[in-house]
Order: sequence, then structure tokens, then C-alpha cells
Amino acid sequence: MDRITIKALIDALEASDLAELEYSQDGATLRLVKAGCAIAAPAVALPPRPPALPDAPPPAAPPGEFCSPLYGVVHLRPSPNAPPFVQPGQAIRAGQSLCTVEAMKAFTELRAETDGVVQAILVESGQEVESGQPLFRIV
Amino acid sequence: MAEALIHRLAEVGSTMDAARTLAEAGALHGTAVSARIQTGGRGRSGRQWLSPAGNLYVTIILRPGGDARHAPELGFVCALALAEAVDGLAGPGTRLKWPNDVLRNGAKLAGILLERLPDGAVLAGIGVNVALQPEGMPYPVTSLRALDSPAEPEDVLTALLARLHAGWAVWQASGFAAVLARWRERGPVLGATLRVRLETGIVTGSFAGLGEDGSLQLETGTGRRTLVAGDVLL
Repeated sequence: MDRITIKALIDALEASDLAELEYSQDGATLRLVKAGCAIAAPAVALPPRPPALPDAPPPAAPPGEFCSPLYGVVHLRPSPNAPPFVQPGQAIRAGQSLCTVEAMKAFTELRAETDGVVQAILVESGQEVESGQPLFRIV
Repeated sequence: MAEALIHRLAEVGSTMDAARTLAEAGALHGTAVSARIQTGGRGRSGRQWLSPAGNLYVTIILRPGGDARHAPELGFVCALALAEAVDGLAGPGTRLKWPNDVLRNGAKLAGILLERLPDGAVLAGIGVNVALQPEGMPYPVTSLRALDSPAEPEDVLTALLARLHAGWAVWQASGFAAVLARWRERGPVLGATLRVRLETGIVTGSFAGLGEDGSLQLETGTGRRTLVAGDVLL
């Protein structure tokens, strides 16, 4: 059962008057229950999101340099045994994942802002990087 | 504000992946995805998180506003909420291991992993050993059942969401310093010896507090070190 199927089922349930939906495929069963229906514990609504915090924007990067937005440890692979997100010389598309930066077990995924080619990777995986430090040169 | 939903799944690869799909489709702040079983649950560094039926596996979608630098703060907010929930279910005595593992009697009861998406949503993935504790782990583990708590995963989820609601309000109103002050009450005592596994090896030192961003301050033989990533060994 893939993400697209699960999402479609969730959407179908949300758009319906049904309280519950069960779906089986290839031996796996997915049961969706609307909050507040059938199961006792209701959803606890968290307070609304606050307005954006008044941070100074990170300094503008020189053209072609893709910089880290925060202090942390950079990971150039999604997991230690997986292939790297990108390689030098590789053509990339806007929105493509480039790396993650870990700080206090929170992983921030960084994606390319524009189409381009990775000319150079300026850091090693596992290295500490500062906020504003260039990570990639993309042309 | 429209009410956030809890999506309760019988089985899923990973609640993180299901939550990511929902978040990318615009799911509201506070939306949660829980599963009875995960077939591909994961922890830090792509490590597997064994996820048989009986424990709690949930990812909560948070939309904190602000930029990426604040995302790590949410791990502390979630860890505190979870520690308070566990205190309520199993009695006082829940401790925290940097940055956000939940301990009872020196053994791991729960773990938290956060992922920030490019649109600013933060996925807080939380696994709690409720009825079962995994075998063969390289560190001590425990479960609520081993602590004589009869709580079920749904009880833990309800308590967690209620505490998170309160903790989120504290974070918003009083800032991260207030969260860290409460974390310290459950963290190691100053001067405690900690061993931390980094990608480059193991560093040993005495606990010298937390930085204002939540980083781990360690006094080592070669001076003070500030750590933002690594596994504190039990």
C-alpha cells in the first residue's frame, strides 16, 4: 500500500460522511477512523500557530552558493548506507533534496531553490556547519 | 480554527512518511498519524525502529512558524510533554536523555525524531514502548507494562496530546528558555559523566549544561565541547 493510495483513502474519508473506512490490499489492512468518532479519545486541538518569530533573515548568499539556514551537522546521504542525495556534476531540479542538517535530533531537509548543476560540494558528511555557511556551489 | 484530526492506521510503512504526505497536502497544525503496526519504522541515522502491535507509534504535524533555526526546540517541547504524560501513567520518576529520549530507571522508554519540511512544517515522530520492549537492543530498554502501568497506546496518545497542548502554550508564551529550564529538572545532574557517540568516535566528558539553543555542553580533558548531534550512551 503506497503513500498515494493512503492519501487518496484519507481524502475520500474526509470528504465523506463516514466515520470509519477499512481497506485491504495484498494482505495489508488500513483502517481509518475520523477523530471524535468511534474511538473514545478525541483529537486535542493544539493552539493555533503563532505568527512568524521575529528573526533576522540569514545573510544573502553569494550567487551560486547554497548555504545552511542553521547550525548543525550536515548529512549528505538520507541514511548511512544510502547513496548520496546529489553528486558533483549532477544536474538537479528545483525542489530536489540536497542534504539534511541535524541539530538536537531534528533533521531539516534542504532542497534546491532552482534548476542547475552541482558544481561542488563544499562540506563533508558529518561535519558541523554554521548558519549561513556555504554547502554547495550550484550553477 | 478547524479541528486537527488524528488519523489512526492499522498498519503503515512509517507514520513519518504518511504524515509527510499529509503535511505536503496542507494538513493542519496538530494533525497526528498513529499506527498499530509500522513495517518500516525508523530512528536516527536510518536505524530501524521495531514496531510490532502493542506500542505507540505516532507522528504529529507541527507548524511552528519562524525559520529553520527554531525547529530543534520542538524536540524538547515534545520530550517534556511525553515525560509528563508518562509520569501521569506510571508515576513520577521520568527522566530525559539529551536531547529527547525518555527514560525510566535508566532504560529507554521512548524516542523522538523530528523532520522539518521545506514549507516549515515539523514532523515529530514518537515511539513509546507501551506493552512491549524490543529484544536485543545495545542499550537497556523498558516499557510501561514493565513499570506496572496498564496503559494502552491510545491512553498514552491522549495524555501526550494534552501535555503537548499545554507545553506548546508555554513555549509560545515564555520562550525556549522556559522549556530548557523544565528539561534540566529531568536531565542529568551537572558534572555527571556522559559518553557520546559521534560520527568520528566516542567523546567522554562531564555534563556542563545546555546551550541556549539546546546544544549539549560537555567538559572534556581537552576543554569545553558544544555538541549538536550524537548519541548519549546509556
